[in-house]
Amino acid sequence: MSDILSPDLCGRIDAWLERFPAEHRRSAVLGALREVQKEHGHLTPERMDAVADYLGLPAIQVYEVGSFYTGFQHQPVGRHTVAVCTNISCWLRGGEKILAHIEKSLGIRAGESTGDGRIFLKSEEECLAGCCGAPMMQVDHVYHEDLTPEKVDEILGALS
Amino acid sequence: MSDPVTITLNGRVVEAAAGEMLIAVADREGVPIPRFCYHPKLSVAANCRMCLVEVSGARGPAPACATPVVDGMEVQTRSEFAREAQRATMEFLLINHPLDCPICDQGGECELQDLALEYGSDISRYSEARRVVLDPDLGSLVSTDMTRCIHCTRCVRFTEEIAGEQELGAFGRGEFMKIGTYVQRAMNSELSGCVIDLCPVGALNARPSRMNARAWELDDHPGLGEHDGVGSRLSRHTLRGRQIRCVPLVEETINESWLSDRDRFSYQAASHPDRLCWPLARHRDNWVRVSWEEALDRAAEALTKPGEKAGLIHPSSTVEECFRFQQLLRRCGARTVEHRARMSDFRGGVQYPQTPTLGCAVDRIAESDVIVLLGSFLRHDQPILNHRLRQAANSGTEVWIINPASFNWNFPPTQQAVLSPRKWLTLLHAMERSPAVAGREGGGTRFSDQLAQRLREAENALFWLGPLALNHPDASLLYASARNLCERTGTRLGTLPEGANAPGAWLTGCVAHRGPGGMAEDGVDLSARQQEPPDLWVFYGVDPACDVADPARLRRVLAAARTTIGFHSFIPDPRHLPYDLLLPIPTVGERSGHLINLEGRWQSMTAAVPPPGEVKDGAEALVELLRATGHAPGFEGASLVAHCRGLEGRAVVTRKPPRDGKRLPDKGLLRVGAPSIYQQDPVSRHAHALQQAELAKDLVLRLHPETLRRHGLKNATHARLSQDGEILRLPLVADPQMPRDCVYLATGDARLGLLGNAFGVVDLHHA
Amino acid sequence: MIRHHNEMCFATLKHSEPWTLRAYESVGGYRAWRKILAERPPRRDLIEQVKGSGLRGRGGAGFPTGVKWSFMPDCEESYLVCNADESEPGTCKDRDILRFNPHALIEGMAIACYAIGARAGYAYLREEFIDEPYFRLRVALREAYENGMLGCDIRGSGVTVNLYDVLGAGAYICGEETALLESLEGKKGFPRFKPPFPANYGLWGRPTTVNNVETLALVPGILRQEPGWFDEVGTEKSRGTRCFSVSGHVSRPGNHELPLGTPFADLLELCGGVWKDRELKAVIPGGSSVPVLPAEAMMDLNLDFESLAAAGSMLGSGAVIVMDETTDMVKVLQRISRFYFQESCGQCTPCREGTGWLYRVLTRIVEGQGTEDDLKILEEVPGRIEGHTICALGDAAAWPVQGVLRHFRGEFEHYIRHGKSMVSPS
Repeated sequence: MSDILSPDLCGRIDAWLERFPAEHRRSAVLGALREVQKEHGHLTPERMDAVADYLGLPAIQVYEVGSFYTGFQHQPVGRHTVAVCTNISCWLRGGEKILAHIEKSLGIRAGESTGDGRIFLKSEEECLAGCCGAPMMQVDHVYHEDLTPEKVDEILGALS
Repeated sequence: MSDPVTITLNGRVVEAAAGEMLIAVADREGVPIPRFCYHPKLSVAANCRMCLVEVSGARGPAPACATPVVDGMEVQTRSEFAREAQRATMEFLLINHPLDCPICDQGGECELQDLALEYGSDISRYSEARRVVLDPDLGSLVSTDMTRCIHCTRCVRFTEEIAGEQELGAFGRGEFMKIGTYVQRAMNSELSGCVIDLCPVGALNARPSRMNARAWELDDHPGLGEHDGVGSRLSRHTLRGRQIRCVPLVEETINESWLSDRDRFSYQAASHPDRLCWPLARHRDNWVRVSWEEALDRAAEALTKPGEKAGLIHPSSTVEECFRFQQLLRRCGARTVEHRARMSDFRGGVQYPQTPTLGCAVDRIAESDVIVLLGSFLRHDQPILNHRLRQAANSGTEVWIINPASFNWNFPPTQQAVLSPRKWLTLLHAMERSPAVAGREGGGTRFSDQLAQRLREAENALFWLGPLALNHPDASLLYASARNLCERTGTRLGTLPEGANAPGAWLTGCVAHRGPGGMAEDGVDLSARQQEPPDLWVFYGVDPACDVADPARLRRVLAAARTTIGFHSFIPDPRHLPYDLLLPIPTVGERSGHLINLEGRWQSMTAAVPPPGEVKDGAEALVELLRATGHAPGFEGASLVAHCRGLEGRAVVTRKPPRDGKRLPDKGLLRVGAPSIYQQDPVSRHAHALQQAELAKDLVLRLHPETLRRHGLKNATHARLSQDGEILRLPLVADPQMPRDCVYLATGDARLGLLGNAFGVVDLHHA
Repeated sequence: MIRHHNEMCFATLKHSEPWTLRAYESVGGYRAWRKILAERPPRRDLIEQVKGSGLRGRGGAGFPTGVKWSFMPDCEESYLVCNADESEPGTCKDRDILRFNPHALIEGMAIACYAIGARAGYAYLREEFIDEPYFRLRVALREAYENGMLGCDIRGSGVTVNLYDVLGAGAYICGEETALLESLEGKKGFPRFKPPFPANYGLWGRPTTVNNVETLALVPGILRQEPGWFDEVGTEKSRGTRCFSVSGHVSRPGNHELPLGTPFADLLELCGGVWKDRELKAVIPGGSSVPVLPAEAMMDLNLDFESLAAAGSMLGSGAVIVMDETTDMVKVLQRISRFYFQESCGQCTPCREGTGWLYRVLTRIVEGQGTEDDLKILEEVPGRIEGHTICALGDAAAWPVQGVLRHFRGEFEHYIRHGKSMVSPS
């Protein structure tokens, strides 16, 4: 268990726990899973078990949460997460074309990672609340707006 | 509940309590409202949307399961508006349903199928691909066909709210949401089969009876749970004389709508290949089939010979069997008639009441402020009782538990003392002497002082002695002390003996020191028989290898006997086979007669199927044997039950506690254990699916890590346990909660071979 | 011509670092909260003031905020929750409030806590805000604590308000207030059946008020403005200002905070009109959930609750999605329907089963495989979802279908008869 939850990771989970009354440890489960994913790249049953243990929850409850929210990954993914919005406001301004451009230039489909483990292209993303900068995408949660294929190439090219 | 209100239901004025859910009112009034997710014993989910009805003033259709009634509410359950809403839901439920009714076990008794007849359309206008879902493997008891699932989440809520351990969940989201365990894992609950009843469609079904029969072909026979002192009401479903499956009957005062897996699936034992189907007699090292006539002759001959005789009957035998058994044995001069095969301390004599009792009705357990449980893992011993205890705990009853190991409870006990059985008597004595009981002011801080004080303070307290206390080598001392404590604190004392009819066995006199009606009898108890081996033994439903306190010692005692007769449903393991004669008796579902549960409730059952081969009703066989031995049985027909009922309340109880001291050895590593859930009786042991179930799997040695270290087994996975010359290799589990002088090892398991006393001193070695 | 532009939530935008405490204080920030701490008015007085302002919730449903607050009982433990799970397609105003004026939200939350009698408030942000918006809020919270605006017994006033930031994990449904509460409790975002409402049974079963970011960020401004300012702006039933996120086919998309009742035509002009000199075809005036309106209806409409309701749509989240003449309305609907299909939580039957059905039928039509029967399904199935579900996501999935079908039926028929779109691809 300690291989999964290092002291440092426990400390970060504790920071989420501190936001809630002591009797509501379950509330920290989203935060804890996010920290574990940040540390290990993706979630596995063992990692969710470790969270369940740490928070004192039935494992089933953690699996349910882990499988419900789209922010959690259950397979190994690339180092950088690229999420291209294709919802209505972006779609109207070419969001799908941006996605197609990225798929073509990286040679992967949405939902896949590049072979070198550099980029994970999230499944077609729903609205990311950047509608006035459409088309837009997030790279590791940083917004990039008013995209053009050239701009996208530049941004993705700079990723290590 | 609260103020009465009046509502109009389909034009009819009905009374209800404010805040009551509309569906509950309608159910009471006999107004049908279709539903899938609603279940009166589970929390309201309001997710299936099948119970939508028209409520005056509401903007849209309202779910009857989640709409509290208010005064003056006008409700239409069958208006066009309501029916259109219901039809809409039905259409959605059916679009992704496989409609594989012809190959579905649920067909014919499916809530979806039934309601689809009324609300569904003839032709689906859904022309897209239908959802297909992979089936999780939930173990040997529950089968899964999850493509049929309609996501009502009754099963999920059941595991969380009733079974007390969330084993099932709903994963993913939206159309792709799946019910399951997420990781491959069999269900581990002692009540898991209830999800089969709860599932309104064919997604969860009984695995042992999968594809065995169509629902409409089955005959149903009301019956009883035959494994524990609760006496759950159930129905045995049969097809052409064969038991196919078993479902609970609703009895709010006993099992509500639940049933333990043991009661539900034990019927499989009836078709076990080792069934004893006709009388067998020993011929050298072989069995030969003999006629009943010959068998009875042989038995009568042995029984009428002079000599010491002993009889041991299983506590799940019926009142009729128990009465006839002791009648036969005593008429033939036996001085040892007993049903407490796992007990080793008989010094209590007639200090026990006439019949054991819970001290409380099953449905009133939650009225207790404090319940103490000494020596039982109730989840395994009496699953439905444990469910009631859990409900009580959840509604505020304090539950204090004293056990030799920290069992896997499905509720948090108020306090739990994991204590070596060597210290139980000390604990009870300390409670007797604690300030609260002695009438002095000021409580102590010790567990014993606190508990004694709570018993003193509580208006309504219960103290239960479980099988581990009753079978303890100093059981009589424990009982005497507990009785004293209870009397001085105004606590009701109850006991939790094994079997489905322990009270009946007591009442009819299958006890060494008591005859029928509890009259004192000058008998010789089982423990004394070790010094004074009988010449003849009769076993009735008791397996001397698994169901007794000390199989090794009994084996030695049996070796001295001239004749051993067994009334059994299964052919015993030849390795432990001292029998000269085996007489076949019926097993679950084949028996008729009465059982008395631990509330003292008489319940009758009739055979759902005829027994196989030449198996004969046990009581009848005993009557024939009475006649064959030259005795008039008396009490023909119904008069036997009347006679036995008349025996109630006639016992003399002595209050003199036994005088000689403790027998439990002070030194050495103490083995302690009770039978695990599916090893408690021969029937469970022969039920195939139960034996494959997750709960049947663990046969391990549980020890404190320090104890392991002391034995040089710090990193060992297995060890050899030796007792009385018998050696067994078993897996180890380090459990920091274990007392350091004990090793916990469940009993009743044939895999234990002929290990000795369940409370004996043992040794541990490297494997 | 445009009056009161960016004067409330976006008041700090004129500063170079609008998110700082200094910038906020320079526009009057924390004056209202300081006054409350100094004077300790009865909490009901504050509720009356907010009621009087006519403030209605800016999240989408438009429920009067003061009335919502007044449902909160006096009790030991109650909570304020700020819904910053902004994810209604087309809507991006809350993100900008968090980025550019987080202190307005903090002050609004503090005042709301006081008014409802809560000592703790949670701001629940969607996880995708973890970079800039979340960071700015965290920094602002630290500033607020350091400057004695939050904490226990603040400035010796006896008032305790602690605010916490929390992140979601990716689920549109958590914008539904009871799903958000479930998520805050560490569960799946399954909306709860109501009643009971959060004011009776909210976070951890305690009385709870859930307000949108913009709603809360407006509160300090309302309290510190001249009495009557807010309710004199806007229309009779839609008082004050609101943030409009204008996206889609306009020359200059952007967030604009304007008085309610501003004519759509003025807003369109402020955004540079329809792009590429094209004609306006349709507008979704309140986020993807609300019914679309055709250009001819829109150009005469004022943007307020009642005008839009009269036109058969809703003001919703204030997201104005503009579509030009080249837009394929069937594809628009297909994309929107895919969203609700993806985001349906799966809890209740009509939405779980119905959203996928609608999306698949629309996909088939777009792929040229549609039939006349499909039109019937599109007409009938939404009505079987709408009003039949636990939460409003079912309605949100139904309304766009009903809206597009009402105004652009011909485009569906063209697809079905000819297997292709009647508008040329843009």
